[in-house]
Amino acid sequence: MKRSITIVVCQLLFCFAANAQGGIVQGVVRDEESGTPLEGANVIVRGTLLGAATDRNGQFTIRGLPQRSLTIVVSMVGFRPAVVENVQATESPQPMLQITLRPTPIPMEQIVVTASRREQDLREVPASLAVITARSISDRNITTMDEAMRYVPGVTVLQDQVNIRGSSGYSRGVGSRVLLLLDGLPFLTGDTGEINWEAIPVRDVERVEVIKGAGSALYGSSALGGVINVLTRTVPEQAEFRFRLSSGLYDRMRFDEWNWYSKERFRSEATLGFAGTVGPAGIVAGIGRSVDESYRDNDAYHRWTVFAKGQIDVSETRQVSVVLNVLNRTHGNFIWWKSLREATKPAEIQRNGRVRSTRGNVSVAFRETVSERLFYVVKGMYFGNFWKDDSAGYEMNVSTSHRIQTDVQFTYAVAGNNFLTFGVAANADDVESNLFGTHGGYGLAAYVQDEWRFAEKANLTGGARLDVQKVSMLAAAAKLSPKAGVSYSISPSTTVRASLGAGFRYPSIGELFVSSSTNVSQLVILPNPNLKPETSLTGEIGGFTRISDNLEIDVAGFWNEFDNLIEPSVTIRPVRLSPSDTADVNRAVAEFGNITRARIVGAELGLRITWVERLVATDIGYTVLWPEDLSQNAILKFRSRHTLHASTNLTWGPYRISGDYRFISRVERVDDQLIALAPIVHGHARVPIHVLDLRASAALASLGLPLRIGVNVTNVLNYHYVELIGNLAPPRMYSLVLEGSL
Amino acid sequence: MKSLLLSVLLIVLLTSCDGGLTLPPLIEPALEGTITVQSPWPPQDSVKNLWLFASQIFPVDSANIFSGIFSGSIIIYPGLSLDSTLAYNVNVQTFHAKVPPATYYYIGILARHGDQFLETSSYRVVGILEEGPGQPRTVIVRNDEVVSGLQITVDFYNLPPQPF
Repeated sequence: MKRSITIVVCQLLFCFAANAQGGIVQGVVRDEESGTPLEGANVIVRGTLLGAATDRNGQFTIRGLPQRSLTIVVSMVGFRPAVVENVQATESPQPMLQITLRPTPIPMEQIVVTASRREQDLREVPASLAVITARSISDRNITTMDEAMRYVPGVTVLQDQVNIRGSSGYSRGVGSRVLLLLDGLPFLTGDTGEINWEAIPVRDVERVEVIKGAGSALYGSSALGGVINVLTRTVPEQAEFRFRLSSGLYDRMRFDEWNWYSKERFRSEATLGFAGTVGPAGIVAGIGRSVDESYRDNDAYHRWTVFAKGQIDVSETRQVSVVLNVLNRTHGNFIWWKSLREATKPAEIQRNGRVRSTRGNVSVAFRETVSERLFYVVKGMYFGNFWKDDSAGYEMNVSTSHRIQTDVQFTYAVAGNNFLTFGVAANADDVESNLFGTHGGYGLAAYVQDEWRFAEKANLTGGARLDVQKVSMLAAAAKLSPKAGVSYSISPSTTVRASLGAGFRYPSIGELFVSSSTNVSQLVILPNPNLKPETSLTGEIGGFTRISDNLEIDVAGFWNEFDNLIEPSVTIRPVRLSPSDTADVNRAVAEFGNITRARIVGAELGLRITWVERLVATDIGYTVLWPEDLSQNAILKFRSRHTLHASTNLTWGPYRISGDYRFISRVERVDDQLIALAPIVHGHARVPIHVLDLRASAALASLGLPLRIGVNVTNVLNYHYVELIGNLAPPRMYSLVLEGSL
Repeated sequence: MKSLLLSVLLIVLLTSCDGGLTLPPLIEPALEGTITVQSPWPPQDSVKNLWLFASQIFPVDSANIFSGIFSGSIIIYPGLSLDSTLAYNVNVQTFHAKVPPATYYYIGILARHGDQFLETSSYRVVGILEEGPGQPRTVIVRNDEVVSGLQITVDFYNLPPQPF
């Protein structure tokens, strides 16, 4: 063992010392049907860590290659990947490789980065992974990223809490059992440890990768049920100016009692952006303004967003990028309805509440490709959150949190079929709030993962991460999260996979220290500094097969074991509201505790079908769950057993017609205590969810205009439902989108 | 295969989609139940009024009872006047008291036996809605909801703990 480690270390040192000179491979990538050069195609050299993206002329150059026979893999959204074997890298430039990609309406995205912290073929990943593209975000007129999550099979969203394969219930705005990453770094708020979807720069996202299943072995706390990695766009080679305008009109509801407004209500957004490069430096930046008048009373928001990303190629092998991302928002504080009869009006006590927030992050990343066998990335992020609300009507809640995170990652190709990824991470938190008190915390972690590929068929992965977290005056807690996985290609069109991974979540500062006697829910909330981390263990067996050029099937069976799940419990008991009070009084008291042990077993089926001469593509995803609350011998709260997602796209030249349908079976069990004691009038009212969206768009390039115009109708059936108790979902909406770039 | 899938989807869509949530019937929130007197009735001139009360305040004392009544935190049934009272000498009577939606921590029967109606010494609580012996039961009343089945027992000669 010692000898092996010594060899690896020596090899690493050699890699650092080695000059990154070597062979060159150049090529051009074109559309097989039109012959048009393709910009942004991903080109990687199999068995190495080297690769490139094509420029506006479809050309790429990869340097520093070993002078031997190589295999090149080229992929791009909307095309079938191409594999070019026996490519010879040479010292001097040779004639360009001519590579063509065959278009497919199936939204194929072959290269992913989240599962192993490096670029790899999706079929090598031993777990289920879904990809949301920038195109689909724009097509669906998504304004916050949680909306995009609603289209991912096996994923549901309760208000703003995302639930991957039933991992999360609803924990009232604190904690997340799904880890959100922004460009690979955790992006959870420092105080409540929750996802703030609006802080994600949705118009500057390149793609989103969603791992279904525990992911703490690479990413640490909160990855109990899955990991969502939002990847911001890279700086394009050529200068561009872009804009996007959208406006949506809320339709009237079926019942006059819910149509509380006399004037029509709109949701509108305008964004402007530009990108440019000067020599090795480039920048992409944008500013956005959104106003949602909302279909509900006291639920409107006004939002400004600013995003800027600078990128400098210090040398051919070194790159620095800096991101600035800021959100400023004022939002009404609609928490739950007054009653189902007045479902678009908030409970009386929330009537005039407002939440004002400013959130933002500054991130820096440095990446160096030391050789074909080694690269490292140093990342750092500051994420600040400030919010205040007057929801209670009597007291202003204020919270400020600062989080600093760093991650240093090395990826080393021990051999062409063996990739070692390892690194260290650290974070520091500082919270000051009248709800949570003043607390600090820090965490340290180290991780390692090794992948072996055998005979071009089997891919074995093993790894672990050790996290240590200390919050305020509490004792430090350590967690070790192992993982193992295998994928095996039975044939070029069929792959099977299996994985086992651990997850955990440290309680947030909010859950540990929240204390409030004037909360909007009329509950008295007490702190519980004795909370322990939640843990999970995920197993999955699955397979993918391409039955024909027109049909692909992906199946998965999974099993999750959860322990020490933190949930609030509400009881009526005598409490002393303030030290100056002379007597205890009876109040509804909420407190977080490690109270639930759970098991979720399920299966998922995914189909991708193309028809009508491959002009039409249909994706169908069905997930069935058996979510058991082992502590109470009942179904877990806030989980649906069945979810079905279907989407169809018809692409014909510059025209595109699409539709999405999702069905989510009725949530069988909710939080009765919350409904009774908050109280939420008609809190038990819920139905199965059926939502149908339709849209059409046209690119106007044929008219000489660099524009795309789109029409969207969401919730076409004007179906009334709740995702979260006491919250009526949006009615039908008609939207118009105009976007363009110069 | 494709046609089958499409058909299944269409069938699911068309047969199971009925518009979703609908309006519930309009109901005025109220407390509903039965008052049972299990002791002999005292002479009528010593029970000048008999009211049901529902208090969002607990504990109630002489300092907060009147402010609670006038602010609406303590509801008096059948009405806040010296002319209104529950029936005398009826051992089992029902009530339907309209109340605002709120959490009521203390519900019971108040008897006035003195003439000084602004003096707390003129009043006695003669029965309460109990969780356990002497322990008031909390009742949550929501919009559009009648909380029914409340049982209050009165014993004029074995009074529950008095608030004042």
